[in-house]
Amino acid sequence: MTIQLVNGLEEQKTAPLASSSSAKVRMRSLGISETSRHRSCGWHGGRRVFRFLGKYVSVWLLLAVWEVAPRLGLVDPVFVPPFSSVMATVWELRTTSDLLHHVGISLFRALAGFLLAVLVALPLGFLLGGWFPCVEAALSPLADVFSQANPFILFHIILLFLGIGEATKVTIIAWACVWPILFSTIAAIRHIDPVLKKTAAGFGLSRVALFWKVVLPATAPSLFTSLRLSAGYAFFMLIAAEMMGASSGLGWLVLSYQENYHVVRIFAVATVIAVLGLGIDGMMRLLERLTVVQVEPAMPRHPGEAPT
Amino acid sequence: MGTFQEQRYRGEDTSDASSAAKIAANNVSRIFSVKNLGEAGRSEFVAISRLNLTVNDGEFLAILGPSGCGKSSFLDIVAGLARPTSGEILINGIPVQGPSLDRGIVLQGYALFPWRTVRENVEFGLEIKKTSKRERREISRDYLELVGLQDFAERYPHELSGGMKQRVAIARALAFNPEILLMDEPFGALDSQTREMLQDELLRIWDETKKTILFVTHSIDEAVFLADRVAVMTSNPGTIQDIVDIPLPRPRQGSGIRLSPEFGRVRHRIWELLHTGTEGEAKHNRAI
Repeated sequence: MTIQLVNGLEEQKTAPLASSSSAKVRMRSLGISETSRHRSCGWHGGRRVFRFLGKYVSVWLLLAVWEVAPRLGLVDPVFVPPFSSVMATVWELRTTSDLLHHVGISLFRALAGFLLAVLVALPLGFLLGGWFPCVEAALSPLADVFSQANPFILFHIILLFLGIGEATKVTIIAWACVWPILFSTIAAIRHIDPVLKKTAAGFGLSRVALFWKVVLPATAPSLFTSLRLSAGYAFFMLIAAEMMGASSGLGWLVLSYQENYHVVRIFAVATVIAVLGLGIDGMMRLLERLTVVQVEPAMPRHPGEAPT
Repeated sequence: MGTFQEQRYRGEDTSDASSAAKIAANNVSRIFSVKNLGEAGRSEFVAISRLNLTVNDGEFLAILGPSGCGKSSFLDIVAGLARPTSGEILINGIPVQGPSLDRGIVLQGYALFPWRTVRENVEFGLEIKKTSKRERREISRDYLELVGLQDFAERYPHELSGGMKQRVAIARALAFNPEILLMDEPFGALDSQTREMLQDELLRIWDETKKTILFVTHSIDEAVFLADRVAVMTSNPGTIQDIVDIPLPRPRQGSGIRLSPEFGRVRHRIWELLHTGTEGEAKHNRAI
């Protein structure tokens, strides 16, 4: 796209550029249409469904193996139930074990912990990374030590203070998420293009204006990535916390089935957890796509082609 | 080193003349404290030493010098992005306190905001000035037409070529109507054909907008083609060796003036200036 544009304009080098009508005519003759922001992986004119199926073909293959192998006796069906019976169990658990109730509780805890982490880590990251780098330098060794504290052990310590209620679980989830968000934010600020910083400073902006107009949008892409990864950690920590000290939720459910040797139900809940995790990741990606301007890949896709 | 240009300008530097000057640099020095290599302690590195310069209203003045001579540091000081160790910069007679909207800056790396469209980039300075949305649209459209990019207003910077990005950067620096345009090797990252084309463009834009332009470059051809006067800087320490008037007629864009004998003569004169300071040259070579 960009290469076409460049070639089109090279022809205009000797002609005056201020004429808008001639430029429009040239663009139309080159057949330049809307920019496609996202390149597909090479399917031309395929229907969206067909493309969707093709994209995940490795997953369908895995599911097929999962279905066939236990039925053929390649793996013991007691320990690895076939995919279809796992799905049937999921449906059954909706009523017998009130699955949706546990899903709701788990999601609530994960969301609460994640949001708490975001509310603490983002502002703190901006303050330490941009405004008070000296404070950051002083506190950073302390932060490094704290971030290494194993959250699973920390959970049991928090349990002593806050008891077995929701607060403990939400706290430990927040703890697990705070560090990656904090460190990514500080790093993102440090890595803002210095020429960009200099140009922005040249406009004579106040610190607050500089933050909202330049720092925040400039760091947004890496912030979103770190938020998406942290959402994954939140869910991860949630299951662990529910297995260690809870009486409800998906993690607790798996633990109780394990204690009663309900293998197929373990698989069922594990599948639900996996799907939820994927769903959260997908939602974060969608959010990212809607908010952040997507830049096309910088590396050339074919040999000999100029990078964009 | 300072005496030659002091002699030249002693006549002009009456209080009337210096208050009429758009930009006046008085005895500007910039000294960096650098860590000693391989040993303890710090030493002084004199980037700019007692630099005096006046730029007149509506003038196109080029600052020419080898890499590392302090010309970019000087431009940063004029822009208000750095403070001189001593001396001051006066704009319209008022000392510079920091960056502001009376000066527009165009740097070598374009530095367009990648999350904003071309039009939103151009409107950046206008937003700071709290111009109304409708007025912003009109002004940004005018300046995009001026640089020939009105059809790309809704594109993002990553969809443009280098020459186009630099034109957007120029439009952005002009849109909020600063009195002065400060340009630090803006065409340095471009191929020579695009570079020459943009030099023509810049002169055309300058004709239409009548700004005062301070243009930093290390290319003699560029300085001679664009400027009314060329301030030749030496390095180590950075100061102005001489200021050369460029007697070439205008308009220069779109003509073959680069090939004229007059152009060659001026160019050679400046080349000799840059190379006569053999002591300075040798010191500079050791510094690199």
